[in-house]
Amino acid sequence: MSNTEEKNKVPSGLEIFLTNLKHLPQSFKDATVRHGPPSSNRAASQSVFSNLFLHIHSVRTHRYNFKKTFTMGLGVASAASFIILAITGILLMIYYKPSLAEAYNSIKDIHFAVPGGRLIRNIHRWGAHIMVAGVFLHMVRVFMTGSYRHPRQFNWVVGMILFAVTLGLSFTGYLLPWDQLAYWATTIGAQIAGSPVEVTDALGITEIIDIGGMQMRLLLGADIVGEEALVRFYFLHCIFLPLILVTFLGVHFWRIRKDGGMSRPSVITKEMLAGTPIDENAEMAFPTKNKTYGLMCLVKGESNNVKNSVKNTVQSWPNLFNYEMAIFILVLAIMIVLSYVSDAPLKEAANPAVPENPAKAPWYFLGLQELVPYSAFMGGVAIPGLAVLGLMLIPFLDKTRNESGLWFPDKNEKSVFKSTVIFSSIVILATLIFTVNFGWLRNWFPQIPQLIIVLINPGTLITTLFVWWSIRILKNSGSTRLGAMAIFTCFLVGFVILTYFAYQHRGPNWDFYWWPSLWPTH
Amino acid sequence: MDEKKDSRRDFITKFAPATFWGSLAVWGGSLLKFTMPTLLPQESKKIKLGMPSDFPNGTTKIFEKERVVLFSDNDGLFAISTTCTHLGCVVKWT
Ligand code: HEM
Repeated sequence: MSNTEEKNKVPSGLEIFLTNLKHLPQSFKDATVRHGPPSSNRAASQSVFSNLFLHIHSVRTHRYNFKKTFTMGLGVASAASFIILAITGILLMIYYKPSLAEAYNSIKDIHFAVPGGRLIRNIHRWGAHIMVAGVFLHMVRVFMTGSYRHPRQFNWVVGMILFAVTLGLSFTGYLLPWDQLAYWATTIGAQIAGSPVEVTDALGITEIIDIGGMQMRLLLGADIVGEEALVRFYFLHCIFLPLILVTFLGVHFWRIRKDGGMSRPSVITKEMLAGTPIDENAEMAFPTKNKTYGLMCLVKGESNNVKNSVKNTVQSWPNLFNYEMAIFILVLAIMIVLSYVSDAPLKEAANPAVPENPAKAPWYFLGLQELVPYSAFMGGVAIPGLAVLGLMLIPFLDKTRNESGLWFPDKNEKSVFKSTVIFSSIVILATLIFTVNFGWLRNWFPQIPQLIIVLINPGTLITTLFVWWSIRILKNSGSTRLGAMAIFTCFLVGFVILTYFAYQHRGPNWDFYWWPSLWPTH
Repeated sequence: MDEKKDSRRDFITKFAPATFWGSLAVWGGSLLKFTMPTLLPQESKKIKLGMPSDFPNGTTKIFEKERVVLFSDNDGLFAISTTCTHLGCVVKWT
């Protein structure tokens, strides 16, 4: 009797609890690592698609994506920079105080008193430079390899938004130290935001609609750069723009998957894949035969290549993740080394009575600053606005379906690229040399109406010549891709030369100097 | 009869989302308006610098903090802002 009783004995609640408690580490591990260590292909695949953070990757990655000369890792490097900036930025927020009285002092504390503060600040500053450069070069790569083409037009537009937000983040961050550089660069930036007033003044309608004034007040919360501006910039820099960036980054990555993965040429030879990782299934064509499809719904339009099986893929875990981690560590290492070599600048505290001379914007805006002296509206609003709009529309104006994923797939692209580099360099250098030696309309006709200078100045001249050149190429070649190649190359060369010139050869009063060491001391 | 019923339903099914998006647009617009400062928190642009008798013919006085230059000559008394209208820098008065 006692025997059967024992057999049927139901464990008490306490006993169950104790057993569960004993197995706690194991159950916890099972729930977290839901599929054993990723030692088999199956478990590795499972690790990828059942993890929120990893599942933005596909389970297998095409070997062509690892080709170093294809993407050059620039998109991943941009993302890595952003992650590093977010981490260091959050740390800086612990000590930074966004008020007129404390902003400058708190940065000084971070730089000189807080343990590790200088390193964190330097990494954040260098990170900002590297992210802007990385995003810019990534855009160049996507353009040059023709990867904006169908079906990736939308992702190109998303990319342009990311580009604009990246620049916005950098511009708003520049004010926060509240030193002379910050104050005067932002004053110039705000004045550029207000510059449509040039046009409305010339037309005599500022009283009725003052677009420039509205833009400036929206940005500064006042007519001057003061505490309101600091609070607005702080909010934009630390909350609003990062949220927008993260949101659109999510869309960007999602679109890469939805557009069928990265672009790649239709024929991929063995030589193209030299140096890329390989695994035992790489030769297998993955595999539409033994995949089962359920019919969910019928939609119009093309989707990922359901019919075509894909060859030459490798497991994302570990190949892709190693590649990404390598880039992350490389980017971080570069930032740390630079941070030990060179400190983030901190000038005297902002002084509205004494302008910084020259007040140079961060380098990526210097090209525009070179155009702004003639007309703040043309150089600071109209021309960059046109450039961004033009870039954004590229995939909709060039709808050729040539090969994507290759740099210069035919000799036409290369020859247009080369001739455009020569043409645009000559145009820009000639304009710069001319204006440095002879000045511009205002020097010759002091009484000339500003509206004429707004319309006819080095910036508009260069832009017009660039457009003329590209239309000529478009007409002669009959190819929208070559037209796009011409205008994009013009933009690229213009950006590089103007930026270099303003960085190296402009001194106090925006006068020309061969080297900064020749600047007069004042 | 049936037709009437259907078109009424049609109307409502179209009208409901339209109200949603319409009110959202109005609300969003008012939120945008919120960010536009109406009280400009800055010093008044009318500044007291002294009495006209403080500036007899031939004086020039620079008020650095106020960013104003006052000078008087045979043509009268002039006040000029030293803030450049181009990019907002301070013009040196000589
Ligand atoms: C915050 C800025 C950005 C980040 C973090 C980012 C990140 C990435 C990453 C990781 C990739 C995958 C492959 C690669 O490394 O190239 C990619 C692809 C792509 N990006 Fe970006 N991107 C950014 C901005 C841009 C910009 C400014 C553009 C262009 C205007 C752009 C357009 C594209 C396109 C079209 C692809 C697909 C390329 C292909 O299929 O070959 N992205 N991006």
